[in-house]
Formats: sequence, C-alpha cells, structure tokens
Amino acid sequence: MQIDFHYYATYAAAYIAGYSPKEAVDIAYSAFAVDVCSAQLLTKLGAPIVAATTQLQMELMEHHTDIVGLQNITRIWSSFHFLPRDLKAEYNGKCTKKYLRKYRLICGPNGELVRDTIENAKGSTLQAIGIAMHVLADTWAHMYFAGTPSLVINNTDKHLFELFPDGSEKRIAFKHNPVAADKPDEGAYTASIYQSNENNIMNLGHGRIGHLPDYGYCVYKYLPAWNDYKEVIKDNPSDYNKAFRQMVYALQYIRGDRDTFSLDTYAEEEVAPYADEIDKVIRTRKILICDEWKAFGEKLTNETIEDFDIKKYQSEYMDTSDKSNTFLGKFFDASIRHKSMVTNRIYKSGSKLAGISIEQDRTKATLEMVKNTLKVGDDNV
Amino acid sequence: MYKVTNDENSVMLRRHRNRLSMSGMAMIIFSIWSVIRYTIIILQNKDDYNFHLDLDEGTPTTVKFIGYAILLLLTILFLTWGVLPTLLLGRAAIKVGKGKKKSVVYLVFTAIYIVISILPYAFGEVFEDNQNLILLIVTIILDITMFGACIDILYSGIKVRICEKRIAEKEDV
Repeated sequence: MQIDFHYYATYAAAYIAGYSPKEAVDIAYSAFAVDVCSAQLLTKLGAPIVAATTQLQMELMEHHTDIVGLQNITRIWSSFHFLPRDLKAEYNGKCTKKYLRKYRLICGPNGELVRDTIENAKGSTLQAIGIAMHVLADTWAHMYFAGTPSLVINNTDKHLFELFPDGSEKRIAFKHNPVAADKPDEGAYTASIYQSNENNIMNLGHGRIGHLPDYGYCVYKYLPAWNDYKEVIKDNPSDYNKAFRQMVYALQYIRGDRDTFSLDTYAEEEVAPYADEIDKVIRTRKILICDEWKAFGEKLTNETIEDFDIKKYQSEYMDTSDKSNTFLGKFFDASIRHKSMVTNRIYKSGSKLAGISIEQDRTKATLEMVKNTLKVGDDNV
Repeated sequence: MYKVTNDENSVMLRRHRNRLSMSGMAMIIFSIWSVIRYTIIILQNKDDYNFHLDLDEGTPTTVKFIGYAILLLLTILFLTWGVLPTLLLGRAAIKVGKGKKKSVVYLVFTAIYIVISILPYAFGEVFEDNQNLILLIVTIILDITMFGACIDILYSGIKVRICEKRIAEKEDV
C-alpha cells in the first residue's frame, strides 16, 4: 500500500475506532513512516540502523545478496511489508526444505503473526500502534508474495489480466521503464525485469507484478510461481475494504474497547455508516488517492489533516540527549521490537532466512555475562 | 463475480504449454550450437580443404576465390540441412506453447528428427572421428539434451492437444 492508505486511511480508521484526531495523526504518521525509515534516514539522524523499516531503491541496488545481505533484506521486508501468514504451512506436493522455508514466508492476512503484532501493540505507544497498522494493512495488499528475494516464489509470467465488473478482462503487458509512471486509464503499468537468478533483488516482494497490489481499484488474475500453474484473483477493492475494517477492529482492541483480537473479524457495525463512501474512495481509478482519503478524513473529524512531513520530528530527535522519549525515538524502539519479534518467530520455525535470533531475556543474560567477563561498567558495553 | 479457471485440464494445459515453450527454446539454442560446432569443425580442417581443393600459393586468386565460394555455399547448404529443422521445430513448439498456433505437423517432424538423430549413434559414426575429444564429449552431452528436449516436445505437445480437446468438449457441452 501507499501513503494514501497508510497515512490518510489509517487516520480515518483510528478516528472511527475512538482515537482523538491528534492521536489519529500520530498513529497515521507512524504507519506511513514505516515506508520512509531507511538506513539512509537513520544515518542522517544518528539513529540505530537496526531500526530500519524499509530499504530505498538505491540501497537495494547496492545491497549485497550474499547470505548476510539476504538475511538483512528478509528481516526488514518480512517484518514490515510482507508479514508471513503461516510459518508452519505445508506445501501441497514434494519440495526441498530450502523451498519450503521460502514458501512459508508468503504474506497473507489473518495469520498468527498479525495477531501477535496487534497484541504486542496493546498497551504500547502510538508509534507501535502505527507500525502495527502498517503491517496489518500490507498483509492484505501484498498477499501471495514473500518478503525475500525469490524467483520461485515471487515470479509471475505473461498470464496476467485485469478484470472488470462487466466480466471483461484485459491482458496487462508490463513495461520495464523504472522512470515511467503507471497510467491506469490506458492500462499501462511497469514492473521489474525478469532475472533468472533466484536471489536477485528484482525478485523481492511484488516487484514482478509492479505496483498493482498497491492500487485499490485494481482486480486482476495471474499465475504466482508458487501456485503450480493455478490462477489467483487479487480483488483489491474487497481486500482494501477488509483491511480498513480490520484496522478499526484492531484499534478498538488496542484501545481496550474489545477484550480479544480474533482473526478474520472486522468492525462492520462501526464502519457501516461510511461503507459506501469508503468503497467509492477505494475504487477511484488513480495511482494515488490521497486527496480522496484526505477529504473523507477531514469530513469525518471536521479537522484539517496535516500532510505527512518527514522532517516533522527530526529536530526533536537530533537536538535532545533523551532520544528514547522523542516521537522518533519511540518509533525506532517500536520498530526494533517488532522486527525482533518477527525475526524470532521465523527463526523458531526452523528458517534462517531472516537470520539468527536470540530471545530478549537471553540477550540480557549474554550482556551480563560479557560485562562480568570484561569487568566493565554499563556505559562501556 | 470473478472466477478462476483452475480445473484439472486448464492447469495441465498451462503446465504443458510452458514446457513446450521452454523445450522449443532449447531446440533453438541447440540450432545455434550446431552452427558454432560446424564452424569449429570447418576452421579446424581448413588445411584439409586447401589440400582437397588443390589450393596452394601458386593458385591464382580468382580460382582460390571461386573455390572458397563453393566451399561456403556447400557449408551453408549443409548448415541449413542441419540447423533449419531444429529452428523450425523450436519455433513451432514455442508458438503452440504460447497458444498462437494449433498443429500436429511439428510433432511428426519431431519424431522423425529423433530417429534421424539417433542413427549416427546407433551405427557408431559419432565416435569414429575422435580427434577432438573435448568437442566429442560436449557434442554427446548436447545431443542428449536435445533428445530430452525433443521427447519433451512430443510429450507436452500431445498433452496440450488432449487438454485443448477436453476443454473444447466441455465448452460445447
């Protein structure tokens, strides 16, 4: 998903769930900040690189795809943008262990990891809530793709058709010009070039299908590489509507208005008064529908929604010594915790694709042991 | 509202069309290899050609030119005979694999080509000229690959025909 949903739609969902406009802005800011918090930004701020929640295109182009590099990529993308649906999934047929580990990273909604993400956000900061909303929303948009460079999972082919409500379908032929913008009216879209190397960056996430998963209006069918020549239909309007309702439901749970967070459950009643309007916004045939979502949010709250400004909290973070209590400090803390949780789950499932993970309390124990061995104070380790 | 076509015949059709396209590509690559192989053989035996054409330093340039031109023509005819069938077979397989063509002729020619290609091995002709061992080994490996591609074209081509027929029958019903 893009800024239109992660920022403005999250704002609207937070307000409907019962948050104040100020809180909703903070949640929405954090939700979209996941898409801009790169190593480059963190370096500029003097913040821990481990808090990165995304990688810019240039960073990816220069990134090594050796084992360590792939683990770093997988850690970030699987944690924040392609949360695995089922780390215990079984492949229907025969496959190698290597393939199975990648197969289990396929993203999808209503998985155990989503529930863990939401439950961890409860009682936490607004920044953690925003990150959780980003992750939840992306499980709907990015389903059927994995957050690791993999040709055998993420590849598609020319069997790709946009479907229209009147029953017609039109083949989509991608252009591979990274600079050219998509033109929905002409049905002209771009995607990454085919690369036969399994671990090539072009095979990360939904690159092979371009930006189609991020367009709320688009309904299309295609052959995912992992699905053994079977078609899947990606009904974005339906999925985006469900994502919105699930966000409201999750936010109500986090606020304490609901006792439990159940999977496959949506805040239908709360969203019902706005359902038609939301659906109309989602189905707008444009690349970005910020204006539409913004108008909806402002009408909902009777307040102006400030545009996302990446520099908004940077001075606060850089000019203080108590960074952990700043807005960005809390965001980085929440991102590290979330990444750690997801990496740990992937590691516990028997896969080292996201690297090796140790439990936090064991980390403390290790730290204590090191301190005792070196006989140094807290400041030095 | 939106439906997928994931019945057994449609899935099998996609799978075998894909295999047909890939095997067709393999045949075309094999054609390119054949050109490279024959070129290496010709270049290796250049002195023999000079001997057989009775070309030496005293031979007039015009005669030399005509001699080489005839040699070139014969080479091209030979390559055409050797390369063109695999090129056309590969092209036909790719077209059928992409759903742009319906044909059985290429399957018949594939079967004939397999038989013709096995004969040199059956009669041991391939092993007679073993001056260049590396070239021989590479040739054998590539021939085996080519046989595999041809067999796959036959198998997948037949499967594609069967699936298309079954789908057509279902649509008629």
